[in-house]
Amino acid sequence: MAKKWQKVATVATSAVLACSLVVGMTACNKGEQPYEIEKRASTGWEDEREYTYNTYTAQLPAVWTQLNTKDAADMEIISYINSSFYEYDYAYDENGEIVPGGFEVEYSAATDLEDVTAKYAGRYGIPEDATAGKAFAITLRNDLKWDDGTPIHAEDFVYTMSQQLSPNYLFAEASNYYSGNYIIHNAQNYVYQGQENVPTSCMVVAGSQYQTVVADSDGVLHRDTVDGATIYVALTAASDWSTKPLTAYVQAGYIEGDDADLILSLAEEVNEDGAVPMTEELQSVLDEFCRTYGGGYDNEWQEFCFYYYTYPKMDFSEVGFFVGENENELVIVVDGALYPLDENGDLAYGAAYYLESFPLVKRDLWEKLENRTTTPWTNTYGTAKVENIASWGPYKLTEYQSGVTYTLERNEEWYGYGLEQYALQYQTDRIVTRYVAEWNTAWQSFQLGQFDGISLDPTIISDYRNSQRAYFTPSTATACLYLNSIEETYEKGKNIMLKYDAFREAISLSLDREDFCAQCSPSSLASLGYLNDMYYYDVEHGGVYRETDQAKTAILKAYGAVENEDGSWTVGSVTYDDIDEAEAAITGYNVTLAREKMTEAYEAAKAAGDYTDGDPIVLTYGITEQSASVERQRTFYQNAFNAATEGTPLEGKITIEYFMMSDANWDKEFMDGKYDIASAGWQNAPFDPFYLLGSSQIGSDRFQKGWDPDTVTLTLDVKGGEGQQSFEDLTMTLTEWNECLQALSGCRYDFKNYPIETKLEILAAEETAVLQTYWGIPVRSVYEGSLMSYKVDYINYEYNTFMGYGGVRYMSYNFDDTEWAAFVAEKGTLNYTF
Amino acid sequence: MYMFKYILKRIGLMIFTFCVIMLICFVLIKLLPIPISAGLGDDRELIEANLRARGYYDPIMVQLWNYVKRIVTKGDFGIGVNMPGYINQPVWDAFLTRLPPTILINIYSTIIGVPIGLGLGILAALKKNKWQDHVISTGVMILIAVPSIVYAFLIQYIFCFKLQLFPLMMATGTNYFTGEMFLSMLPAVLSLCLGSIAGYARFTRAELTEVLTNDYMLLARTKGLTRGQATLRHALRNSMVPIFPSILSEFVAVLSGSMIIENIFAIPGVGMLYLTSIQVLDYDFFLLLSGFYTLVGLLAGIVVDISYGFIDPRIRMGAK
Repeated sequence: MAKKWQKVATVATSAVLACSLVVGMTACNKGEQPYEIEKRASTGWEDEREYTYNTYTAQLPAVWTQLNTKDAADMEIISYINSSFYEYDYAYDENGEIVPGGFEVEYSAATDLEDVTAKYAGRYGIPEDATAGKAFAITLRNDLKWDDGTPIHAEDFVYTMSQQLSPNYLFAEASNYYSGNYIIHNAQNYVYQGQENVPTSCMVVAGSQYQTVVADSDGVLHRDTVDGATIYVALTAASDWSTKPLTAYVQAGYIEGDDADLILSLAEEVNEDGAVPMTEELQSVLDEFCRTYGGGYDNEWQEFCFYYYTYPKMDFSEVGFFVGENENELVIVVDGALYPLDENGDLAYGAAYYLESFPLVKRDLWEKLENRTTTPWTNTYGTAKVENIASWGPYKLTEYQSGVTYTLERNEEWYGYGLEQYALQYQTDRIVTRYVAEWNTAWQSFQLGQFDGISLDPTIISDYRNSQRAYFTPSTATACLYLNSIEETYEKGKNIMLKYDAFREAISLSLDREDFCAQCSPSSLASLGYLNDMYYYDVEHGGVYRETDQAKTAILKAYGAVENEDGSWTVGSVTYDDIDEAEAAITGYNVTLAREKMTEAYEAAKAAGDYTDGDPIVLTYGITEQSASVERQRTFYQNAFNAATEGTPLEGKITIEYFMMSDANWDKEFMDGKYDIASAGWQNAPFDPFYLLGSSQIGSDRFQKGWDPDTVTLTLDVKGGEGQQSFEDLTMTLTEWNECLQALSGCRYDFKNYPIETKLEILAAEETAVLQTYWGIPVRSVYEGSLMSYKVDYINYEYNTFMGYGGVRYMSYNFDDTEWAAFVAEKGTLNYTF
Repeated sequence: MYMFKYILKRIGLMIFTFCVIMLICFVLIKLLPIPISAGLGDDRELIEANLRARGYYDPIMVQLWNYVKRIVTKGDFGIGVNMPGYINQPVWDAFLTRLPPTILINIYSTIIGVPIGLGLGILAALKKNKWQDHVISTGVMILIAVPSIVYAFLIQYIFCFKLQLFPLMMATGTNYFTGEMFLSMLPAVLSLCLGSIAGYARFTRAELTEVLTNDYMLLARTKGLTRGQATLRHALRNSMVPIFPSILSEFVAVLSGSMIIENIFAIPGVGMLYLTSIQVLDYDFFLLLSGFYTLVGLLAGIVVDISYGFIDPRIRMGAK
């Protein structure tokens, strides 16, 4: 009897569970008809009905002031509570239709921008004879106000910049003004003032010309001191010459005999920076080494040298950021040059790009929240509480509950409400953002009408990619598979095969990037280059790098296509007359060739004693958390590697294991060789592909730290423009080409202002060369899929680099809050499949 | 007196253990590479200068001394460095802000879970091998086998999304004692207490079943007590000796297990704060929260041990 009841109970319980699961499976309301919703145009900020934009975030903004932003999430609030001096807007044709890809630059918080270089020549480091590109006067509107009505003048921006650059705060964001897109005169010296014994390179560039500061301030050159400070030589640390220490060149045999002995003996006496004071013997060694392997210019030995410098005290009045002729004129002086105005003196794209805005804090509030008892000083301005922030933008923060939500509401004091240029815009009265860490929770809330937008998770994207409410936002990021390049971390029986070019090439060839996107990131597009379609080399005329013949050639060459004498391209066994067709035929995926390369790597490794038959190959894949998404990617790569080794001596030998890395230090851990595979990418700087590629793949920020770009040389013809030198078969290392293209410190030639065709040739050649090292393998160009609720609409669903989709500024509402509540109550769970 | 000495000794040991654990936490977290998040164009030297000024590059023992000194002399547990929402905020203040939701959902979970769990356990024991027992035992088996995160997703999907009986997320605001707030916490509370209910029920059933078969229960019945009286006065009390401590330990287990539940139901508790502090390497937050969870665990151990003496007079430390 008891057993019978036991069975009954088991069956009953199982039935209850099964019912629960069935209920769970019936998520979609299949068969429903699309809702009949009339798309309404924006009625603008004057509409008296209530319009609330409800959204969510997986990361709440932490700091709401530009002085100390931590990441992109912070901009969620900052972008609404600040204004722009100059801003982008859509370009319209004669019919009032938006011009695809077009843009205009408009005045907003400023009413004028004037090049005042000549006026300040001879001051703030501006040469006496300079006439343009150095100093700019920004005239502010005279009705700028904080949200409590307090007026804003140029002095407020100057005060804020003094805090931004304050050595008492040491804000990381200060570097935006001396190592970003432009350099405000004396900004770095002001931040660094008082810092003692800062290792300072003996190489400094003035303008784009190579110069040294090894000479004393009176012009006398000493080989062991600079203004009395001892010159040190980096022996066991990286230097301007290379990321590899000098001792590495000894071990590699570039320096031999007594010179080598001297270096190695001195290497045992290095200080904490891996350097020793300069001696005559050392000087002689460096001279000889540079003569043999260097670029052939005077005093090249200084690339190994630095000295300890103590920055003197400085008054902020010496910084190139001050109040001009009246209380509303803000003057900025830059080292180098900026061109935010076109030849007619009108705003060019650079005005909104470089001078969009400067940080601004409300002085009395800032000083009230300042804490000088800590080192460095701290300030709670723009954190934690609504009372800790003030707005001068179209919205103001009215509610903030940490870890839960924040609300922005219309700032009635904003100058824009009432301006003709903002007519029929800013219809949104309120923006309510809820913190939701779990995407599934957000997704259910979205279907219940509680959120007005949601990102599409890979698990549902196939069901919703064709929804009329779906849209896809491109980003500047290209996700790559980076491979561990630190040779010291290689181990036989684990990851030593990574040192073989053929092995890494096989990995690249094994990746069916289209399939990867389909399986692991459905909203992304397969990518073969480091720079995607978002990079403009000519903003004014819409020149996209990836669309150039040079960029296409880069991909074709990198992935094994052959250029024929008649200009046609052969990809595999097919010849294409058209470069576009040839490029379209390239997938980067070739299992047959991958297997050949695997075998080649195997034979080379076996011959070198790095691989013994039967050895496993264990590659560690860095992750911050284990999830279904991560597992999908690992499985994809594992399957790809399995296919690439099938039928080769390495068949079944490659295993990918997880390596748990810290979210905060993942890049350093990878660059130190703690794990073998990193899925990562670079982004931003969409208007400077030369900078992004050079800095992220060749410069010192590159992930592939163990690879030395000095070991790769390129020989190119360089065609100069009018008055510029041309070169035939110029051979330089990748580092040098990058330095020349960007006119960086120590560059042999300045190609920054060379004709764009020449620059594109160099950029494309650099891209090919880096791709062919196979340390960083592009996989996908990142797109984010999203759904828009029926409540709201963007003005336009064709992505515009400058305007995105128009954002909240142009957002229109198909329902006001009351209508939406009624609609949701009537429909229940909303269906977004159609 | 013996008991008093015993308690003092345990508290002393607890403080010692706490200090050792915190020392280990401090040293281990400081042994990790210093987090420098520098992107393209950032001045790494400036970031390092900032961290150096904050003492990140001091020897670990110096940092420990400064840390302890700050706490003892100023009650200063540090400020948030990387913690989203709490940059430059005192970590103690943030901790106090986030503590109520975590404590509340755990208390609610215990308040709901204990009587139901005990009730089911008692019923199963009294109806041993009858259909009621089988139903309860099967349910208990399933509830114990399935992790609470699964209940959380099911409860959220069925009760919050499909049936819309509860909100999907915890309500906003800091007034935690309103009906709306309680209702919004219930899905998380249910997710947390289902496992506990099963645990209590299983344990109670096992203990009570054993006690019910003891000879003194027969004696109690022969003295003329009804079955209910005998069960309530003798069996239940005796079976509580091991059950009551398990409630305390379950409370601690639930407290630490609520981190993921907090994520699912968007509850702004300390669990999420703890996870984030590890992800972003915010040392001061990590140490304070490690201290909190350590202290809760150690205190629970002491309370459990001491409670034996109060529940069962036969158990008195050192009594002769």
